[in-house]
Amino acid sequence: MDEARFEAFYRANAGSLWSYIYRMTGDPAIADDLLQKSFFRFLRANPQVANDDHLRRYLFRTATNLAFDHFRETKRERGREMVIIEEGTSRDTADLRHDMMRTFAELKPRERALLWLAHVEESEHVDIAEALGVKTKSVKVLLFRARKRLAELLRKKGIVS
Amino acid sequence: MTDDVCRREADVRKGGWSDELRAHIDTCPDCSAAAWMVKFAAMPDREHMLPDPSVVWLKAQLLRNTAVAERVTRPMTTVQMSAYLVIAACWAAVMTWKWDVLSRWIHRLTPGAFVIGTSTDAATAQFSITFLVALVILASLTIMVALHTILAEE
Repeated sequence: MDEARFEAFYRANAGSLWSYIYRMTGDPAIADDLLQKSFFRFLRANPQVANDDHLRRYLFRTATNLAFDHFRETKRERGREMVIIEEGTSRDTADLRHDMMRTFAELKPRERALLWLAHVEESEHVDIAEALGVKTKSVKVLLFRARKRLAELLRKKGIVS
Repeated sequence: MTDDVCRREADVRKGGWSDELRAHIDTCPDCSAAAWMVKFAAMPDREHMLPDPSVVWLKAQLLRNTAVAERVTRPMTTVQMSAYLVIAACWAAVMTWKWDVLSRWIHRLTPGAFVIGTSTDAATAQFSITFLVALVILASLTIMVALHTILAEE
């Protein structure tokens, strides 16, 4: 991949990838770090695929693996305040974001990845399976459970009746 | 089990909810989760500045070069470590071989013996030519490996 193509690919995908990693980890600095690492790995692997959709799936899979590695490494620190809101965000937005991020952080990392990939990225089950390293058939069940857990959390917090 | 997902979830994901759909969202757990995800995804977080692509590209190239350099120097490092181990083993072997003579010679190393020059005479008398040659070769090899390490690091 040459620099011009990389730049176009980066501009098209870095924003959504950053959002994904940020919602997964809850920390903008870690999201920055993992975003760059994902692109470094992506460039090092230099996948010989012409289709940008395939490259995007490859990138998200790499980012998911890096995020899971990060969770494994920081497992001992779990329990500390995870959500970090960036400076320069208005008070109301920050509060809302904080509440939503905290709610999302209560899910397991795999549930977060599942829900984000399915609901926001609108990925196919086969792509989610590839990104998470699970069987395609399992995605439906795992997604059902993740959705159920989120619904329970929302009910517990009084967000929905 | 998984076929229980609400059919209206697709409408919820599309956005632009009608009053009737909002009422449904309030009562349906699947749709409430889907609606929450829609709101969560729409939450602005893009005031965050992303790294410039040219910087990421440059860093990736640097990392790639570092990885290549590490890969190239790996055999050299292995050879260097092996050389240190072999030399250490040789020193140990030589010391074990002539330990009796060496310990006697060390005990004779007194300031007085140095002054009258008997320590060197005694050493040359007790050490065989083979042993002295082995010592010289080993010392030279040790210096060579040490110099190689220092110069390679520089």
